[in-house]
Amino acid sequence: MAKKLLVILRGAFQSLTVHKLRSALTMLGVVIGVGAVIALVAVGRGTQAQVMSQLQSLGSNILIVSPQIRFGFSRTGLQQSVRRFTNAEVDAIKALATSVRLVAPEYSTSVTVSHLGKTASITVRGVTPEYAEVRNWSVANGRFITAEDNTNMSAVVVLGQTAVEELFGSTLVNPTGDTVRINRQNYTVVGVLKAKGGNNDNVIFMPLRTAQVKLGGAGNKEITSISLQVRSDKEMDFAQAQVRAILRTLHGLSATANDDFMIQNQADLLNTVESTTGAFTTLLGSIAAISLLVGGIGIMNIMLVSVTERTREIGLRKAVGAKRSDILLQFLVEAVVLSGIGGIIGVIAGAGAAQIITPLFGTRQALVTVDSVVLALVVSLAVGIFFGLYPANRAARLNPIDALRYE
Amino acid sequence: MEQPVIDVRDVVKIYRMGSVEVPALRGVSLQIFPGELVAIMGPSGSGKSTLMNILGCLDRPTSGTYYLDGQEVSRLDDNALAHIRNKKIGFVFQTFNLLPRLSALANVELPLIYAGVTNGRERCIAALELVGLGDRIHHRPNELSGGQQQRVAIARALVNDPSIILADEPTGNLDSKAGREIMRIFQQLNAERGITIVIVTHDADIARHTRRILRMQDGLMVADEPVENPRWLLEEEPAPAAVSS
Repeated sequence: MAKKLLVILRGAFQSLTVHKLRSALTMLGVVIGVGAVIALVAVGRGTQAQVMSQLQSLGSNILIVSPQIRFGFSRTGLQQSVRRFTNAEVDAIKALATSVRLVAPEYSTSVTVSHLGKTASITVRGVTPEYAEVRNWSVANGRFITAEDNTNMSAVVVLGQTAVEELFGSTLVNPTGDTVRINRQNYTVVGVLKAKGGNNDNVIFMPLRTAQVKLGGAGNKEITSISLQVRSDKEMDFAQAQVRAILRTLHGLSATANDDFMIQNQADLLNTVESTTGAFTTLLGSIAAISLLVGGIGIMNIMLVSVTERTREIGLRKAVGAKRSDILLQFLVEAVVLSGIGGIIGVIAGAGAAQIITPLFGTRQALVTVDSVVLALVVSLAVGIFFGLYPANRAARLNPIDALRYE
Repeated sequence: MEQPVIDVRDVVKIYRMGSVEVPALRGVSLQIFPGELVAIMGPSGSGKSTLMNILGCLDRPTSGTYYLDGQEVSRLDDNALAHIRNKKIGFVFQTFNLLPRLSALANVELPLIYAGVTNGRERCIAALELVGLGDRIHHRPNELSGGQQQRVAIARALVNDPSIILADEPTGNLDSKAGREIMRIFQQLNAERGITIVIVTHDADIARHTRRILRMQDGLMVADEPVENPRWLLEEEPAPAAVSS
């Protein structure tokens, strides 16, 4: 049996090498399919791992409070409503939440920043001094936003590493003391942050009040989200309940109404990221899987051609004693060899492609995981079997007399 | 009395072409005994190819019985017929039907692979030596002449030690010299090894190299006669024709 399989395998390689170009082109379909799956899943996994590690550095005693977008129906149709935070929420939490040690509100918006003709689209976060401690930022040069900056509504900014690179051309430059332009106003750079990695560093901090007024408009007191540092891990649940009660009272919610805000801890955020990037990875993988399907159809097409071309060979093999199962196996093995080799090349090509496309997704490192490689190989073999079965069965069912006479 | 290798009784074969029934064999009976060298002759359309297919277990009769080596084979399923072909029948075709990408040796080995024989190399080489190709075992078909290719095909037919070799116009694609060489090999295999050989041909000259001629016409066996003076290509005289009753 082993020898028989070896003979079949050798025969499969022989007949595939007869039409080298044809076999290679057929394989290419599977190579692209598997390669795309491997590459895109690797990028997805890489992104996920990166975001997760950033969140893990957040600290387990942090709560993030943000408005909840709510959907409801009215006479005019689907309504989307959001109750934005203002300084009122911040003041209430500061005054009443005894379990909270630090309150760090932020007002963030995306703006175009320029410096000497270079422009970049960057998220500007208006913050108070507490933000650096709560969210684990430290400065590499200069200083962070101070309380005085806020009181004076100073036009100062602290730049993340990516922002420095984009505006000043290199992270080796020390831009402290220099100015950048946001909305036709000059801001003095007072500090540069240490790198945190990934998209995190594409950020500019400025005083909360400066951001609210100069970027949001006069009289704007909006707060995008509030980061809280709880006194200790043990008080997390209590703190969450406390903050919730304060906000519900402040927002005048009745006992039966749903919250119009979200309070998330590190675990919640990890879950959210995991599920959204997981869905993203699945989506990418599924799109790529379609090209694998197309590759499989290519195999079926070529195998049908091959069966027709080799009708006489099939007739002869049957005449000398090949059973249906022998012929079936022969053609099935050929299809599986095509898809299997395509799969292996695809894994290698995909791993390579992942490294190349990774920067386009703002991800530092693609993650080619063992399970995705195994899955891709198993699927490509399955594709060979699935799409090889019909042509192989057609070959196996040929009548030997007609097959021998076929011209 | 000795048991016949081939014992066909009242075999009828009807092909259906749409709604029309075309009778190809209309009740053929014949017996061939071990060690015979027989030619089946007849014009095209006489049913000799149909008979050949049934004798070769490539097809089943519509009615009638066929005993091969004492075993009733006319009602077996495809896989059982494949097994019979593998064990008991060696085919030689007009167009050789060698697999072009395989060496002579690998072509001869083909029936052994389907028989599940794992160490048949010696047997294949022996078969190739028997047909005079011991020095060409690694050549591919396109490196061999037509006559040599047909000899490879004969070696392939021999290798499983079949009860009978069926040859369908084996010299049809060869010049007369190569054709005579093929007939000499058939005579040699028959005389020296006692192999039963049935040759289907429309060529009277080829038929004269055998010892018994069966003539077909319109789906019926119309004559069964011994060859008076077989054209013998071997050194020794032919043994007296086997007596068929």
